[in-house]
Amino acid sequence: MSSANTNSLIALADCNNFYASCERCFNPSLLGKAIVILSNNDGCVIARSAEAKALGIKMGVPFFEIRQLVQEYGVFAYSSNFPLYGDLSARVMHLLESHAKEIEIYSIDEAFFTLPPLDSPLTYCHAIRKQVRQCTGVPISIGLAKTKTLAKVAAAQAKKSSGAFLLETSNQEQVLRHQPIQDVWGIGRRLTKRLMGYGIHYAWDLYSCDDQWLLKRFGVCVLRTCHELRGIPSLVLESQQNPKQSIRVSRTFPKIVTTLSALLQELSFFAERACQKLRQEQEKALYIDVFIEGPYPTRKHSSLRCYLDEPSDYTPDFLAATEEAGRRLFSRQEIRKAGVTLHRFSSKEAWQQEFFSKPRDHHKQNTLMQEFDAINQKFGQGSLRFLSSGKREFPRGTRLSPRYTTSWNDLALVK
Amino acid sequence: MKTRPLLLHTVNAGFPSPADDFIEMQLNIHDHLITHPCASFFLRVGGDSMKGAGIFSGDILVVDRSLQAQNRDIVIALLEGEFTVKQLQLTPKEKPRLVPANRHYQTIECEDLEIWGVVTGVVRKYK
Repeated sequence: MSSANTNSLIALADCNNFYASCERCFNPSLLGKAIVILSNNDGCVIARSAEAKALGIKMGVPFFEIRQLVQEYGVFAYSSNFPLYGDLSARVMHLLESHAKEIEIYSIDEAFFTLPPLDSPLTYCHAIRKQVRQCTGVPISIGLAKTKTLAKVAAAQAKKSSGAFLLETSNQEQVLRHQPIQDVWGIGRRLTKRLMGYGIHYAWDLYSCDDQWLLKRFGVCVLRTCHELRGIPSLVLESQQNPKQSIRVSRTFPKIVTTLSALLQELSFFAERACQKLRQEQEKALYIDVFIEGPYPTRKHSSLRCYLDEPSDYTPDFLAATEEAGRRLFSRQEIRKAGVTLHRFSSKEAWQQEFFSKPRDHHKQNTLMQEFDAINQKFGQGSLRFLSSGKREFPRGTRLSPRYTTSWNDLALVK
Repeated sequence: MKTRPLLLHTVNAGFPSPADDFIEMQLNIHDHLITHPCASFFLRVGGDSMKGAGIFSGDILVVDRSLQAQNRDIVIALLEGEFTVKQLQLTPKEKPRLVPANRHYQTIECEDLEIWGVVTGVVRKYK
């Protein structure tokens, strides 16, 4: 392949069975064993090792349904250990970044990136795979193609073959003819149904559609996907991660909330978490938005913005503002969902201390919050919290593996 | 972890500190111990098989997974589903050997040895 062609290649790196692979990194006794990772409350299966897939354990299945299987075959079931997965993900992404011209971190275990012109991109990808595996213990697959949508297809092929796959003119038709339309990136369940109504069952069928017909029937998004399948780049790499302007913590309640005290507790908890994230990013916020939402079908939405008297990252400031907002929003209605949003205070907005406001002891507040965060870091999220958040069960799974890379108390043991 | 420069004066009034023109980063032990942050991990020692090499139970090992293990390196190897720390001995004609630094332990010979990483440092706190 000439280097002029490789110039435009897009790679998609995908970590194989990522959460299960992370668990294996620090627990060698899990090598070759069936592993499932459970959702926050140990409710459903959210990730599986290849061995667990082979046992027929499906994605999203409730844990109690497979309990017997788990016992019978000695499947290892773990609660999700996001501190561990997040750390290993960051390491993998960092390594990929060192090879990439441009990179778009698409999810915790996937990244699109472009490679510099190479004589043999496939060989290079195998070298990247080897390096990531050796340095982090995480196995990855890489798909290479001319567009993001094709790179996704190629990555799926890579998983089935040697771990890296180059989709090019010579093998494109054969691969797309066998690629079910519902597995094409950007084609959801509803679109699949409609496309199938017109006899479009495989990626190749979409590839062969008439542009005008597609545009009229399905709109510009599906046309774009079609072009991508033809190798015409229509989706760019979103590499410049514009720093998120806001931090939102919200939740749909498992049970409808009907009392003010229950609402205030939930809101206080959200504000607490949002402030923690704010401090992690070493940011401050000047105001907080609080919203509540009623049950279906009307989903009546109301929200309020509360300003502080100066930009802050001190949780009690926001707890007071949140409580006030909650009191004003609540009028004995049923609440299905609620949340808070903090907006980052940009240093570009000039800020002048109000002349009559009380000077604050920033040092004391900073120390308090640092200690607060440090204790939660050391003993696990929610170990120390504000009374206004009430007593609450933390979604801490009972089958949690140690936080091998983020807690000194949890380091893996070596004999 | 980020290190921030040490600012010696915060007051706007009065004389500036003469040291402010010579600000340097405070030393960070992490930078000294770790060459490849993406590939470096900490493990805790739970045993005395390497005490002759100055590795004691409770110590924290700095392990670099990006390095190719060489003869006489102290390595982390996988042994029967567990991590073990030993000295690696590679000789041209014999099988690779994992050698303890404690006469109460036996040397382990292994055909297809799986090395997890190379130990590049030991951290011990006395207080």
